[in-house]
Formats: sequence, C-alpha cells, structure tokens
Amino acid sequence: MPKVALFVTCIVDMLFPEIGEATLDILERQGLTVEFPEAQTCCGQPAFNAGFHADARPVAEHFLDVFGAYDAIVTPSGSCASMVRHYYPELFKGCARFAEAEAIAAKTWELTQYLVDALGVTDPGTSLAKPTRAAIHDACHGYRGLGIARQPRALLANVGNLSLVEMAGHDQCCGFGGLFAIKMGEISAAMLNDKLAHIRAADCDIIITGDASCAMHMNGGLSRHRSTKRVVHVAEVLAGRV
Amino acid sequence: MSSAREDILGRLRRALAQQPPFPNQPRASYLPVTRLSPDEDLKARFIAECERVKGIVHRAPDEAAARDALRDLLAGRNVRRVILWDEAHIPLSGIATLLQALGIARIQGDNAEVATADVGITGADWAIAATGTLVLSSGPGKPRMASLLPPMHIAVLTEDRIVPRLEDYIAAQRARQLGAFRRSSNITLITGSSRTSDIEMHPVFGVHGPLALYIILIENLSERR
Amino acid sequence: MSRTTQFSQSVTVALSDIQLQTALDRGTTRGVNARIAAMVETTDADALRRQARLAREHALNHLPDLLEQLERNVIANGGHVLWARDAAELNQVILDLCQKHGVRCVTKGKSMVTEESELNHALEAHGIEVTESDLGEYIIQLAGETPSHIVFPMLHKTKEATAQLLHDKLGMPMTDRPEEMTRFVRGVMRRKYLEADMGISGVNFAIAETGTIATVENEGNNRLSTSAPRVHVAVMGVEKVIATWEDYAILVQLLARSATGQRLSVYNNLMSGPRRPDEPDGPEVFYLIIMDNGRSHILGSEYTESLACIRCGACLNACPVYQNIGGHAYGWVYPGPIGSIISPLLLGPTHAPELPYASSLCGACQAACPVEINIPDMLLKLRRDLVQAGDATLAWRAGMRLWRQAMLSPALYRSGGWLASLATQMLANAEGKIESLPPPLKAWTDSRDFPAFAKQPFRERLKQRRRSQARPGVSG
Repeated sequence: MPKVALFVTCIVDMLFPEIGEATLDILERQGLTVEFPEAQTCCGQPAFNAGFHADARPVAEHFLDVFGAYDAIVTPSGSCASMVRHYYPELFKGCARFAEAEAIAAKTWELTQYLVDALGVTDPGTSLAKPTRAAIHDACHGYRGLGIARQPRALLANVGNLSLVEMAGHDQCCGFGGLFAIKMGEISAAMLNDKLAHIRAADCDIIITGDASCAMHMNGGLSRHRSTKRVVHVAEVLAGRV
Repeated sequence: MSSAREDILGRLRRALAQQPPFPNQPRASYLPVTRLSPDEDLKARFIAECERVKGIVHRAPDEAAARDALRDLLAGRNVRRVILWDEAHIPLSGIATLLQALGIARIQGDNAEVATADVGITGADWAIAATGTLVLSSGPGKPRMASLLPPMHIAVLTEDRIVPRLEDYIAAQRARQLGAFRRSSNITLITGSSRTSDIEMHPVFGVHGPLALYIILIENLSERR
Repeated sequence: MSRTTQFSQSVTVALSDIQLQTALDRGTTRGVNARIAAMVETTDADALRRQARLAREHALNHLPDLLEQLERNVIANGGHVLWARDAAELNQVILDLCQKHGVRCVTKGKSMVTEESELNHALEAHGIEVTESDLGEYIIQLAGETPSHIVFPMLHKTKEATAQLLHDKLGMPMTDRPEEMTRFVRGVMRRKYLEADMGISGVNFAIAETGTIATVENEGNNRLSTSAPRVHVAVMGVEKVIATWEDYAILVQLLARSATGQRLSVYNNLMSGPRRPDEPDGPEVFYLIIMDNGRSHILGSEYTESLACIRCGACLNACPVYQNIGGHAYGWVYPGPIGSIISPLLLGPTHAPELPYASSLCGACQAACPVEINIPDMLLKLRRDLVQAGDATLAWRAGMRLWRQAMLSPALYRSGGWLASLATQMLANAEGKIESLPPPLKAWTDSRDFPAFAKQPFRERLKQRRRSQARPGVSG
C-alpha cells in the first residue's frame, strides 16, 4: 500500500474546503488511506512566479520537509502540481536539497493524473443527482504544463447523469495568473471577459476545471454579471457532490 | 581599433567558450513536412495545390496543345507586349512564330521598358507537387522580371519536372553539390499568385507581383520524346 | 513619468480603443485558426517542431563559425559583407553605402532589424527618400505609426481606418473592400520600385553553406525591392544564420505554416550575390550587413533560446494578453510574448520592467511556437533578475516577506486564515461574495467578485470527518 499524502493547497484549505473533501472522497473510494500532514501550507508558487526566489525557496523547503517521506503526493490543482514538478528542480538548482527537489517532483501528482496515469482508474463510480450538461475549461498549468486533458475527460465520461459539451476557447486562459490578476488587473479583467463570452455561448449548465483558483476567478466574473452558470472543480463532480 | 567584424565574432566566441548552449545532437534524418502518400499522383496533386493558391493550370497533352493554350491566353486578352525567357529555357517550340502571328512585340531592355509588358512568359526548372510550387532560377536568357513585373505570368512546364516535395528538390540539389544555388544570383520558389493578408488578415490576391499566374503543363512526354 | 505608468497607460488606452479591439479580435482569431489547421495537416507537428528546434540549436551552437562560412560564400558569390556592432553603426554603414552609390531613393522590403535601428529616420534626415514596400508597412509609414505585429504590421488597424487613411493621404476613392485598397497601393508602389536606386531587405534565413540569403513573402514587394534597384542591401541579426539547405527546408515551411497558415509563402526568394555578368537583370551590387546589437550578450546566457526565434508571430496571435492590448503597448519593435523577452534583453532590464509581468504564464505562446521556445520559463527568469536587481517596490518586498513568514509557520498560517475568514465574512454579501475591496485588491473587485474565505478551513473540517469516520456504525 503506497503512503499517499493529500496536498490540499492553501486556496482550497482556506476558501474551498469542500473541494478538499471531495478529493478525499475520491481517493478513499479507491481504497487508499490518505494522510493529511497538518504542517502543510503552500508550495511557494506565488513568490516564485513573482520572481522572489529567496522567499519561495524556504517555503518550498518546508514542503520538502512535510511531504518528502511519502510515496505519492496528490493535489487537486494542476497549477500547484506543475510548480512542484517543473519548478522545484529549477528553484533548487545548485542548492544542497536539489536531489530531494527532483525526487519530490517525480512523485507529486495532480488528482486526475494520479487516478488515470498512476492508478489506472477511469471509472470514478459516481453519478450526479440530476442530468447535467458540462463544458470543460482546461486550466493552463495543468493543460500545457502537465499535459492534462485526456485524464479528466476519461473520468468524467463515466460519471452518471453527466454529458460533456464542447466549448470554444476551452483551453484559453481565464486571466487569473495568480498575482497577475492584481498586478495587471485591467488586462486580467479583459481576458476574463473573453472567457466569459465563451462560457455564455456554451450550451451547458456548469463548467468543470481542475484548478480552484481559476474556478474562483471565473465565478467572480459570472456572479458579477449575474450569470446562473457556475464553474465547479473536477473533484466535486467526480465525487458526485454537484 | 578593432573592426566591427572582429569585435562581434570575438564576443560570440567568448559567449560559447565555456560550453555550447545546447547539447550537440546528430541531425541525420529529416521528416518531410507535407503529407504525401507513396502512390500519390504527383501531377494531380500539383494541379490541385496550384489551384488552391489561385494558380490556373492548363493541361496540354502535347506541344501543339500547349501552343494552342498559349495562343488562347494571349489572344483572349488583347496582349500587345510580352517579356519572354529565351526559348531554349522554355520547353515549347514555336513561341516566336506564335507571337509574330498574333502581332505581339517582344520586349527587352531595362526595368522601365519591361514594366510596360502585359505578360511574362517563362519556363520553370522544377515544380513541387506537395505545395504547388514553381522553381525559377535566374541565368543567361532568364530574366527575373519576367515572372515579376507584368500583371500576368505564364509558366510553361513539362510533367517530368515535378518532384514530390521541397525536401526532394533540395536533395536533388545536394546531389549536384548545390551548384544551382551558387550559379544563379536568384532562385525563387513561387507558390500561387501574389497575395496579402495585411488588412485584418483578410486574403487579397494580386498585390505587387503578377495579378494572375497561369501554368501550361505539357503531359505525355514519352510520346513527345 | 515612470515607465510603469507609461505601460499601464498604454494598456488602458488600448483596452478602451474599440477600433483596436475589433481589429485585434478579427486578426488574431484568423491567425490562430490558420496556424492550427496548417500544423495539424503535417506529417507530425511535434516531431517537426523538434526538428526545427534542433536546426536552430545547431546554428546557435556554431554561430561564429557559421557566420564566417556565410561571409566566405557571400564573397565567393560576388557580394560584400559588412558588420555592425549596434543600431547606430548599422545606420552609418547604410548611409555610407548610399553616399558611395549616389542613392536618392530607397525601397524597403520588410526588415525588423532596421526597425530596431529606426533606419528610415536616419536616411530621411540625410535627404534620402525611403518607401516601405510591404503593403502593411507602407500604410503604417503613411500613417506615421510603427508596426504592431511582426508579420502583420498593421494588425491594429481596421479596414475602415485604412481606407480613410489612403483617401486622406493619397486621394483613393473611399471603399470598404481590401481588394480595392490593395490594387490602389499596387499602382502607387510600381513607380517607386522603378525609381529606386537601392533596395533594402531583411533576411529570414542566411544559409551558410552557399552564402544564400532567403526572404519569405507573399506580396512580391520583397522580390521587386531586391531585384529592380541597382544596389541590394540585405540586413540581418547575427542569429539569422543557419547551417544547411535541409535546415532551410524545415524552417521555411514551419515559418509559413505558423505565420499565416500557408504551406509555403508565395515567394521564397533565394539570393546568392549580385547578378552574374551573363544574367539579364538583378542588382549590380549586393551587400550583406550582419548586426549584433546586443545579441552576443544573450548567446550563452540562460536566455539563449530566445535567439532561436524565426519571427513567425504565432506567439502574438496565440497570446490572450496580446489579443487584448495589441502590439504598441509593448513599447518597442518586438511585441507580444517573444517581445517581452527580447526587448528587455536587447535594451537592458530597465526598459519597460513590467513587460515580464504582462503575462498570466498560460503557456499558449510556447504551445504555438514552431521552434519550441519556452517563453514562460524565460519570463519567470526575467522576473527573478528584476527582483535580484532590486526592481521590486518596497510594498511588494514587504508583502513577500510577510507571506513567507506565514507559510513557514503553520500556527501563523492558521491564524492568518482565521483572520482572513473573519474579515471576508464580514465584507461579503448574502451570497458570500465581496463586491469591493481596497487597493491593491481593488484591481480584482473592480471587475469581478471575490469569495469570502470559508468559515472553517479544510483542516478543521477534516478533523470532524475523521471523528465521524472513526465512530462505528456511522457512514458518510
């Protein structure tokens, strides 16, 4: 039995705990014992992306301390998984803990990637309460950084009462980009408007994505524009919580 | 004072002194870009590709038919003046006689003179099936302007000059020690008629080059030879 | 005025310019669709991009040797090779050539390098008439503007604005048909080609093994500019050299497919020196000018792969930031994602320090790039360099320190979360949404709601879940 840890991410922990619970539901349904290391905080991405490597590194070291001993670290975020997988080796280049960083990069998984690629699971064994039409937003870091596209689709295809529809611009950035949304607020808002136009045009009830931060951003726009459509996290759908 | 040349090359050498920026990798085999099945009919593909890019192909079973096609193209448009490659470089005999019969003047001289031509007539060294491309090289009796300045360009081509892809054309030149690229001051690969998409990326045909491109393709070479 | 305000002001102006927004939307959408269709139908898009990338890597690994080989072969073909350390020297070299050959009129084919040096101004200051011959460049020149796209210089202009300009400046009868505008400019330009003493062109690829200069175009203006005048001057950055004709074949095809969605551009012009003695036409003299202008500083650095760029513009079309702000907001010759890398590298990190931040790091640029340039990674490195150079404001530095401390101490992290929850719950409306926050978060709430933090974080709810799971007889 592999030792599996849940890295819930700071945003899910503090803003969207239900996504964390859904993630646990899904993993436990696969018969896994999932540990939640209490000392976990953040992967360090906000500082790293802003160029503050000196601030990002100690936070990443904390991540190594907390998660280093597990066989697999699973997270409901393509963005945070991509931070660990791609940028930890970069961040620790020339540092004493480089080997640890490389090791943890190789065993940190985005949720759907872990289910499909590591466990070989494509049937989450769930069904939604009522017939629902959904479009997928391929969140950037998971999609282009980790190549996540077929995994959520394979899983969602087996969710009862769910039908997937095509959405134009499904892989177009929603404009979130972390601190970008604040630092370049106007551009970010313009990108969000482009995205909302695609969402409006899609023949669906909900939009499914793999990153809570992107969902938060798009939902912020949808509620501001009094839209009835909502973006939900893929874990909530796979857990049948929608 | 050192020259700009020495300075620049020196800086570049120093930049590479430690180690090459990228691992040196063997680059032996090349995958060609365009899909083409091994049994593809090159002539049919060439014609289809030309038409896709607004080139107009006239198929001529033999030289007599090619002359007829050329006559029709010239006579139907009230052409008065043409610029022409030397006939040795056009795979069609009797063009001079044809022009005479139609009362069309053959222009030679400087660019200003050539600019008054209604039509340019050329041969083509090669043609590329996968992209509908003509390969024209400059040389004695082969003015560049014939395929460039007049509003209409007619290229005469025999079927045996069609190669599958750009890569095959390059390979053929490689087999000849790339001599053509040194011999001719200019080789131009022409794919369709002059176009622009500068205004809102909206395609418009006929910009600074010829407004129309016609290709007379002479087939059935075995009978001819 | 600080550069930061300049950039954000340009952004604000661009975002509220309805005409620009229309033009950008129409143009970039067409560009993206054309590229995707053209790459999908190839033998194997990913393998081809790898191949193209290796061709560029090979060239950069052997840059000085290839430049010397190129020089030898250009000379063997009867041409001349000149070198320019920077933009000012480039302009001087060209001015000297104009004087030497008694040049009064110049037509130009598209050249980004001479945009770097603002050559047109330099020549005009010496009484030389310069005419851009590419349709888009010509219209930009008429309007007194600069290009806003590497391949489609007037992408920022609608057809309506173009017609108005041609009407006002040259008396063209008004029309909304691009076909008629194009035909009109053709007529104007014909005379220019025949009058010109010198043609100046850029270089898309310089093939070292035969000393051949390759240009890529659709209109025929480049062929005319390089064939009709008696002097041809081709200008290239040092990085434009490639080793072999096989490299040319892959690169030129991916360039066409990525830039415009064509299988090949209409005219691929291959020039090896001046006209030969027995050739009937072509330029009598040929010069190749090789310019550095900062590129040698990039070579061998962490940013070397930016020199692999073949200037197809695909990353611009694909970029959701470019799609919204257009090219001019980037403030220099090279806009879009690649411009956000190249501009600070060529001009120094203090030029427009916000450019590396003008990206959500979505990666669409890298996915579109025919030579696989990892633009997001280089943007991150530029941000790191800026912070190391002390460019970050005090507020950002303090904010980051605070964040670090909270993330390193689970206790602080928990109490911070508890505070945020308390505060945001108070600010939230009945639906749990916050509609207005003070700066800097105002930048968010100006156009979208922010959610309240959860009343109980995941870690607290997990404790309850574990307790209920542990209790026999109770299932979730």
